[in-house]
Amino acid sequence: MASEKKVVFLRSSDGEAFEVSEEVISAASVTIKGMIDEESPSRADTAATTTLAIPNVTAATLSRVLHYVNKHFDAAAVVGRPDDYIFCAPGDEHPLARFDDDFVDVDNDTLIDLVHAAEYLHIKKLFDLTCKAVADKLKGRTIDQIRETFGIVNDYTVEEEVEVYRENSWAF
Amino acid sequence: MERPKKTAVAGLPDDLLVEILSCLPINEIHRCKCVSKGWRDLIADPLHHKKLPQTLHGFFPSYVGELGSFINLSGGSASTFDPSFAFLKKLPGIHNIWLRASCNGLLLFRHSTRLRELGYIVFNPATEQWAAVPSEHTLADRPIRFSHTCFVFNPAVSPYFHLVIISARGVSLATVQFYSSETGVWRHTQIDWAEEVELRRQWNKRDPQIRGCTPCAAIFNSMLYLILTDNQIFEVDVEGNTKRIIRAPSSVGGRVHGCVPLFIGQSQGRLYCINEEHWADGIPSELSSRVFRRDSDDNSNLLSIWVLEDYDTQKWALKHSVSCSRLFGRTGFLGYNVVAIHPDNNNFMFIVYRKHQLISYGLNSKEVRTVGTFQESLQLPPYVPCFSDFLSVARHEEILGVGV
Repeated sequence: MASEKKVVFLRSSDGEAFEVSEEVISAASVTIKGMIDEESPSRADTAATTTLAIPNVTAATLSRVLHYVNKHFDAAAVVGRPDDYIFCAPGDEHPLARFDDDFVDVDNDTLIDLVHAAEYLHIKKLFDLTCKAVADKLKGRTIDQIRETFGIVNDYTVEEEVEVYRENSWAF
Repeated sequence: MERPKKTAVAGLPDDLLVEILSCLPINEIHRCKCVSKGWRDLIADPLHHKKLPQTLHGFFPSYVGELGSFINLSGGSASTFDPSFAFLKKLPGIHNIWLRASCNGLLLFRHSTRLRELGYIVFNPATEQWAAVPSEHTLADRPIRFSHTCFVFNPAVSPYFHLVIISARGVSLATVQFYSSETGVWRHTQIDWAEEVELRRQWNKRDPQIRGCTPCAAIFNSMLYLILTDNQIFEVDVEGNTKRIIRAPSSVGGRVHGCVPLFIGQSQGRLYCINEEHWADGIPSELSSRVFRRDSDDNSNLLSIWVLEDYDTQKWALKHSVSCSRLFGRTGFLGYNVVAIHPDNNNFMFIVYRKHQLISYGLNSKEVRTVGTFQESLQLPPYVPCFSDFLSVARHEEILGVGV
């Protein structure tokens, strides 16, 4: 059928291809919309589907990203305006708020991969969500816990550490 | 210039880490400086100042026009600006400058030109941006008891700044002059709170006036709060439209006499008021367990810290009560004043005049620390750097009388 919705294929860094609605991914990702717009003249009126290489994102991360994108940007799947849920008060039960909580309830490496992917693909909502989720992992933790969580080596000498704690003592 | 992309966290470039840190409350951001040198340098890097909110850096001791020092709260790193403000003194048309107030990164100077005209200069030491404000003139020929200058700037709400000058003239009458950098003009209005006062008149028969000292004014949610002489607080917006009188917190022991509000200020989104209370016949035993004192013989004045819990019902909640000799030592009355509340934590700053010291008292630690010393100081305007630009429509050349 000619009126069928256009799809594009995204190929991950490790070679796996994912199908996604062109309309949905264009609404979600500034980067991919740019790629599609660049391709458009050459593929006008052709039936061939486009495959875009996403060299910075692995299949595991890309499939998560697309899961998020399909939930948030597919008009048919979202009740009301897609941004409505942002204005819900905290604690309000909204399907997407719950989805978001579950979505970022993953290990650190996966989460940081998602931050990178959201930045590269320029999906602002996903970027804000994942940055906030990483920040929540820092919140209320001791300095030692933060170092452990993020694999950071303490490179202060004893004297330097005393000094930096003293300078920032107000913040504890 | 391309900066090398060093990583502070494995796999996380600096710009992403800054995005993540910017989601945290301000004290947690600064706490993270203790994680590693990489994190410390990243958070302190001026490149990220616009993204990461700033906190209280220190104070400018100012004494009748004498400028030149800065009390740096973090001690170590030298300030990145010149505290003598040589830059401002070199501006054409400026003869003399006096630091009058500060608000969220901007400093307000009174200045005179060689023609002895007075005006104001607003200056941001972090960006060296400045603006001239014309003199208000209208009151020059009228007898005034005193005037009180309030400076209001909140970049989160508006890029424009406001000046509010309240001049007491009659018993319950004040002239309030407003300046907005958005319009570049002064407007004025009369406030007569006799009616409000009549409704609330309690034990005293004298009409209240505005206190003349600086810490008796606070800016909170874009409203000005001023302590009146009869323990009430006058609230007015920067346009002079909305105004009301609210009760200051009461005495810890429920007494009416001998309890005076000393300070009003805001911290962490709450309005605070500090009362001083005098118990001539000693602190009653039922209170002593709630009060932090030097020892059981300590009968010095009490400072009580209150927070406005409910704006609508004007309910104040007692946060803490501490004796003067626990704060300032047993050396009798030294002369002190409350200077500031740290905007992001529970530390209170006091100036102890005779010792020339700035001390801090932490509600969490209950510890007293000396954070700085100075030669002479009447005022200590606090400084929180601001790296965004403010807007002002006034033209410098016209105000300073310099050829265009």
